Formats: sequence, C-alpha cells, structure tokens
Amino acid sequence: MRARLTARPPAAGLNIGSSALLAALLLLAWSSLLATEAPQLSLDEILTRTTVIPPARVAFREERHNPMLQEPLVLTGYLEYLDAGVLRKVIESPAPQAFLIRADEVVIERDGETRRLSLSKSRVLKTMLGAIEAILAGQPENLESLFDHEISGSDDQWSVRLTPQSPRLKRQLVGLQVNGDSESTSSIRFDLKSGEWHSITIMRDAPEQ
Amino acid sequence: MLWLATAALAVFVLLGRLELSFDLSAFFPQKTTLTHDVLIEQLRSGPGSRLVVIGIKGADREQLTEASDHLRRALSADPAFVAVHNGEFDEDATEVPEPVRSYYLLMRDLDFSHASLQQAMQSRLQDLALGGGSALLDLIARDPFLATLDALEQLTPVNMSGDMWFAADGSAVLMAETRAQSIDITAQGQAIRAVRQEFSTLPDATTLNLEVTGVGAFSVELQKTIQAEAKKRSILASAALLLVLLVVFRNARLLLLAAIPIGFGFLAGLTLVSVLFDTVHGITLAFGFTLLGIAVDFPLHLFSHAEHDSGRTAMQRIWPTMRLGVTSTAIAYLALAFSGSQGLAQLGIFTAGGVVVAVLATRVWLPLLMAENTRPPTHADGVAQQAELRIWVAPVALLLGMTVMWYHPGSTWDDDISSLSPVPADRIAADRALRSAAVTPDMRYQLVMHNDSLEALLRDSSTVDKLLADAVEDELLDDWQSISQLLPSQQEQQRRRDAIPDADVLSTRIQSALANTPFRRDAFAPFVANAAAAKAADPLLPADIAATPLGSWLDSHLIQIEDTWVALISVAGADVDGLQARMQEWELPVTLVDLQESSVGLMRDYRNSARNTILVAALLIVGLLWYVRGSFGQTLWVALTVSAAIATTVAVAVTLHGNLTVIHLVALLLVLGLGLDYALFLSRDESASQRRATDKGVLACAASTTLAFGILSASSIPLLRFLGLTVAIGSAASFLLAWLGSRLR
Repeated sequence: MRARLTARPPAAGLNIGSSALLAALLLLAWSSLLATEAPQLSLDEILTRTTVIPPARVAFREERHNPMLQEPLVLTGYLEYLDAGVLRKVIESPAPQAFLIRADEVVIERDGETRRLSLSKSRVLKTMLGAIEAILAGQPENLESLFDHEISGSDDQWSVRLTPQSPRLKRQLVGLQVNGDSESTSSIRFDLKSGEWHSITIMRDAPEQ
Repeated sequence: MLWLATAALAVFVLLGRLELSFDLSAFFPQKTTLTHDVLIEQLRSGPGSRLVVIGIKGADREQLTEASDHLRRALSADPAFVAVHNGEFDEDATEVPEPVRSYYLLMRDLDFSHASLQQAMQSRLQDLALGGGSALLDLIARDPFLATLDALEQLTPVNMSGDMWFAADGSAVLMAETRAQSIDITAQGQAIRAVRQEFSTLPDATTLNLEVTGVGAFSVELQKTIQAEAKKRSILASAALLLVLLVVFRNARLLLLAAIPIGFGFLAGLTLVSVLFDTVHGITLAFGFTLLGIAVDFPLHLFSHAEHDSGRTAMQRIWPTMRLGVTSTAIAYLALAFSGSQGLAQLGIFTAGGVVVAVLATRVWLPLLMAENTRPPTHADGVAQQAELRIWVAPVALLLGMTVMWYHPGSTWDDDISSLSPVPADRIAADRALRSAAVTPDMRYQLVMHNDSLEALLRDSSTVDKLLADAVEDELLDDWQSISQLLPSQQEQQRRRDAIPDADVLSTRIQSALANTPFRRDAFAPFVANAAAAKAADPLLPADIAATPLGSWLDSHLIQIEDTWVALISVAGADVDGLQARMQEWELPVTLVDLQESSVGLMRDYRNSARNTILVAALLIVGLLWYVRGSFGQTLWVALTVSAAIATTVAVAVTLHGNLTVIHLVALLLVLGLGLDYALFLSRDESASQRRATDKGVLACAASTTLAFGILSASSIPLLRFLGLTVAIGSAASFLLAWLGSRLR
C-alpha cells in the first residue's frame, strides 16, 4: 500500500547531494575507524588494508554551501556502518533526523515520522552506495569500475580524487576528494555540477564503537 | 461516350478526394454504449496508441543501460515526441512540467500563515541536509511547501519504481510518446525514422539490435505491407485469371474484354467510397482485390454462353439470371454498410457498388465489343428442359457441416478485439514482451463518470477523490489517478486563489519565518512571484493542458465524446468487489468498468449486430428469389444449397482457424454471393447445349475465384489470409454442391 506523506523530503532531494554525502561519510567512517597506516599512494593497498567490519560508528561535522544560503548549513552527528549494506547517518544538530540506507531504499526518520524512498529514484545515490560497499568491503575493482582515481601527496598528507566514469554520473557529480594523514581520513569534499559543495570533517575525539 | 465521360469524372473525383488511411480502429464498431465509446476512443487516440515501443538488445546490461539513457535523452530533444521514458526518473530534468509548474498553488489546499511558512522553512533546511542539486534548489525557492512534488506524486502511478526497464529477453525498453496521433502515418513514419537515426549514432550501434513496435509503428509497417501485398497479389491473381481464361476460352481478345467490367467496377467502388467517406482505408483498397474474383464471373458467364451465339443474344438469355444474382449479392454486401463499423461499411459499399457497375458494364459494353461468332448457333436446335434439382444433396452437406461445428471444441466465435488486428502475431508478441517490461499504469479497471458540464464533472471527481482516499485507508485499493488531481474545478481553483495572500503580506510573513535560519533573505523571492502570478492567473482549462507534457495524462483521464465529458479514474491494486460495494454507498454517478471485459462485450455485440443484419439481408434475398423465380421448390433448393455451402465453409474454417472472427463473417457474405450466382445459373431451365455453356461458365467462375482467393490466402496479412482461405473454400463448396445438386431431366 502506498504511503502518502504529508511533509516529505523531495524525490529530487535524493540525488547527488545525499549520495555524495553518504558515500563520503562512510568512506570517512571506514578510514577513521581503522586508523590506517600511512598510504603507499596506491588505492588497492589502501582498500586492502582498511576493510571495515561492522558494526562501527564515527562522529562528523559537515558544512553545506549552496546559493540559497547566506552562510553554510552546519550539521553535526555520527555515522554508523551497521551491517553489510546497512548504513545510517544521524544528524543531531541543528535539527535531529536520521537516514537509514538498506537494500534499495532510504528510511528517513524526522519529527517522529518515518518515510521510505526508493533508491531507484536516484541512480547517482545507488551508484555511490555501490562504491561505498566496495570501499567498506575492500573491493578496489568495484570502485575502479565506477570512478577514475588519482592519488597525490605523501604518507603523511594524502588525497584521493575520485571522478565518475559514467557520463550519466558526470552530469551531476564533478567528483569527490578524500584527504587523510598518517593516522586516518581527515576530511572529504564533494563538488557538484550545480556549483554546490559540501565538506565533511571527521571529529577524531568523538566516541567510537 | 457516356461511360467514358463517367469514368473520366470518377478519375477526376479520385484525384481530388482520394485519401488513404491505415487507422485500424476504423474496423471497430461505432455507435455503442458510453463504455464502448470510451474503449474505442482510447484505442484510437489514447496515449497508449501514441507510444512507440523501443527495444535494444545485443550487449551486456551496462552497455544497454548507457544506450537506453543516450537514446532517451536524444529522443526527448526531438519535437516529434512529447515524452520518452525508460523507467528511470529523469534526474537531469531541470524544470517541473507545465501546467504543474505554473498552477501548483491552485492544485492543493495550502496554509499561508506565518506558522505554516516557518514550519516549511525548517523542513526545507532539513531536506538540504540530505539533498542538493540545482533542481532541488530551484524547487524549494519556488515552492517551500513542496506542493509541486505532492501534485506530481499523485499523478504518478504507484508502481513506478524508477528502475530502468528490461524485458525478459534482456532488451532495454523505452516508451516514446509521439506528438502525432497513431493514425497520422506520415508523422509516425518520421518519428520511427528519428528513432532509427538516433539509434544509429549510438557508439555500439553496429552490434546492437533495435526493435520498434506500437500502434503507430504497426500502422507504418502495415502501410508498406499492404502496398507490397496489393501489388504482389494483384499480379499473381491477374496471372491466374489470365491462365483460367486462356485454358477455358483460348481467346486473347476475351482476356482484354474481361478486364473492362472489373476496371469499371473497381473505379466505381473506389469513387463511391471516397465520396461517401473522408478517407479510404487501406484494407478497403486491398479488399478491392476481392472484387476481382466476383466481377470476373459476369464476363465469364457471357463468354461461355456466347460461344455458339452472338454476344447480344447470349446476354439477353442469361441477363435475368445474372441480374437476380447481382441484386442478391448487392443486398448481402450492402448489409455490411449497416454492420456498425466504418471499415466494414466501406467494404460493403465498395463491393456492392463495384459489382453493380461491373455487371452493367458487362451488359452494355461486352456484347458490342465481342466479335460475332462464325460458328452456327446451337441453342435453336435445343429445347429448354426443366432442371432436375436434387434436394437431398444440400441437406446432407448441411448436416455434415453442422456436425463438425457441434463437435468443435470451445466457442465458434473469437471475441478478442485483437483478432481484428492485421498485425502479424509475432509482431504483437514482440510488442507485448517489450511492454511487459515497462511498468505502466494499470488501465484495466477504471471508474467512469460523465456529465455534459465539465465543471459539474470536476466537482464530482473531487468528491470521489476524498472518498477514494478513505477507500485507500481501508485497503480497498492502492492508488488512483483522477482528472481533478490535475485540473480542479473552477470553483476549487477560485477558493485556493482567494486563500493566497497579497504579495506584500506574503513577503512580510516569509521574512519573519526566515529569522534565525541560514537562508538568504531573498531566497524565496520566486515563491512570492509565483504566488502573485497564481492569484492573478486565468482559470486552468483542459485546452491549457493539451499542449503541455501532461497533455497525454489529460487524454488518459478526461475525454469528450460529442457533448459529453467523461472522466476516467484509473485505480491500481483494487479489491474489485469491495470497491464496488463501497461505491454503492456513495450515491454518485460513478461506475467501475473492467475494460478487458468491456472489449469482449464490444466484439460480441458487434458480431451479433452484424449477424442480425446479415440474417435480414438473407431473408430479403430469399423473398426476392421467390418473387422472381416464382417457384417454391427452386427457391428452397437455392436457399438450401447456399446454406449448405456456407455451413461447409464454416466447418472447414473453424477446423483450420480455430475460431471465427468478424472477418470470417465478411468472407461468408462473399461466399453467399458466389453461392447464389452458381446456384441460380445451375438451376436454370435450359437446353442441353445451353447447360453445357452454363456448366462451363460456372466452372470457369468457380475455378477463377477459388484460384484468386487461394492466392489471397497466402498473404502475410492475417486478415486477408482468413478472407482468402474462407472464400476459396466457399467458392469450391458452392460450385460442387450446386453442380452435384442439379442436372437436366
């Protein structure tokens, strides 16, 4: 039976922003949780050494910049990798809400209401979640089938630049950049075709599970 | 000279008026119930009829995904198409489709109070914590209530998942809705060429396979097939006729003369139909070929009887029989004009007109043009003898035929509307396979409401919306789409217009609501402008929607039949019995219609109507025979012989084809005409030599007809194949029964 929603996040909202965000946050979660050794500037090696075993959790601070805002929207909360294919983003401020991603849907909890949205409504989000799965499960071949990558820097200060291969994804997503140091991932920046950009910083002092 | 002038006039008329059509729905009945009218309207010009169904295969899923996406975007930019879908939601779409974009504030009840606006701003900030992209930002700026999405969601069938469509055989499937109707063959041809052109530009085009189906595509194919078939079958049939004439008469001059009545008959039939109807259907033209089979009988009878006599004398002798046969045949064919189908009416008028003109041409021209025989006349030395009519032959055949029909498993008649389609079965199967991959609205069950007043209808529809919302809560259905969701009544539009505050009031409330948010102060300026525009807008009317991307949605849910507006509310996941029981409580003029059952009923009514008309025609023919021949015995023999021939034909046809369709009914009418012709000639009182001439003439007629229709039975068009085989069998049976059942004393 169809659930009619009185106040819903738009279907259009589940596009690149959400997908990029989730992908990045989960990338970040994985990196932070495992506190990897300094990368050898090889994606294969990074992923091979950093497979995440669920359940795991990491705190974050996110800034979202877009033309409607006179100052960035700042979000804080934590990310959870609950099980294979099951991810959760919990926002604590400025307004609490949570997004649970499992199978082919996103479950949104807001103001005591639960709403479900099909992931099929956003090919970008679906692809990004595939990428996240590849990262968390340590499957570089799956990641490389979706993105071109470029690693730069040193073991102490490295960056992985991921650029979508598919022309369809390229129309919405410029790319994402994962930055880290000798201990773990420190930040991720997403650039969208619309000119919007989001930056996520890992809160290393946050409690981890 | 009069004939030539008439022929020239006919050619002139044809040059000015002849317009061919390939609209298959011309063969559907007219003047039926409102439900049937709705069904036919949907089949004729509903959005489903405008879909070009595209299948791409020959590569792995990933390549097909890219190819499908590429083709969707390319065709979406082509003005020939209103919309192109491949199952995915269009994330590249930057604009909300009209009329929702301009009228969204009049499509939903909204609360413009300060508190409501403040709540909306906070909710949009929460949305921006998840989503992004220019489409979302544009949407929020114009519509902080997201009424646009609410409206669009209600217009979208519940079962649209957003997954790209793939058929069971792995083909990627696209549905392209053409701007032109399916009956506009030229535009459909251009649309299909555009599909092929864009497909050829795909990177892997050489290794991929493209399949294009749909009503428009079939019409284009049918046009080509009919043209090719008409040419091929005409040549073959002409060759067969020439062969028969040469074998029987061994005279090349007679071959040329035999063409005159056929030519005049064809010209007259075509002119008559083009004058009486706006367009001439391609099938009608192809059916003109059938005229060839029956019109050639007249010169054959004449030639046969004129072998030992002058043409003029022979014609005088056989004219009463020929006239009676033609009159009876014309009555039978004209019955088609009252069958309730424009296509069949064209066939009937074409054939009846053609036959009458052909026999007149035979009567007037051929005796003048035939060379006088040098052989001595033979009829003088013969004395007319009474024909001995074996009354038992026909009843035996009739009994046998009826026995076969009695033991035929299942129904004799096929009431599936698709059986009328001349599209080959494998193409229909390919179309169904591709369509099954596409998740399209379930159109089987519809709530139908009608009213002469559009405003009253929209108000009723709005009331039904509220009742259906309750029914959804009670799990009597999953979802519905109604016209009032897109086009509210003018009363409702005005009420919502009045609820929108003036621009300065709205601006003040928004500024207040934006306090303590990171939004720019002018972030919702587009919303204020849209609200002002909506408040001053003219009422939204059907004509405003027709040319928008939602025009086809409108066509699916609101149609006008003559002066009556009909609203079609499509329902999904309905508990039919439960919903019907609930509807009885509503006390509203709304009916739940099963379109599938309706189509079967439509064909059943259609067939019954055609059968009744033909029965009346048959009674008229029997009365005519009795009046002219003045003999009850002869009339009974003719009636029984023709009935037995028809029964035999039906028995063979149901054995070979499984069921009979309306097309078989048409073919049986032709068999009736042929049977009458043969039986009337073979029951004449005449001398032995005349009888030999009659036998020869009737045999030549039967052989030529059986051969010509036998050629037709090999056609690739199922409709013509059924027709050909039935008439070929009928012609042979008619001859054998009439010949075996009569001899001279």
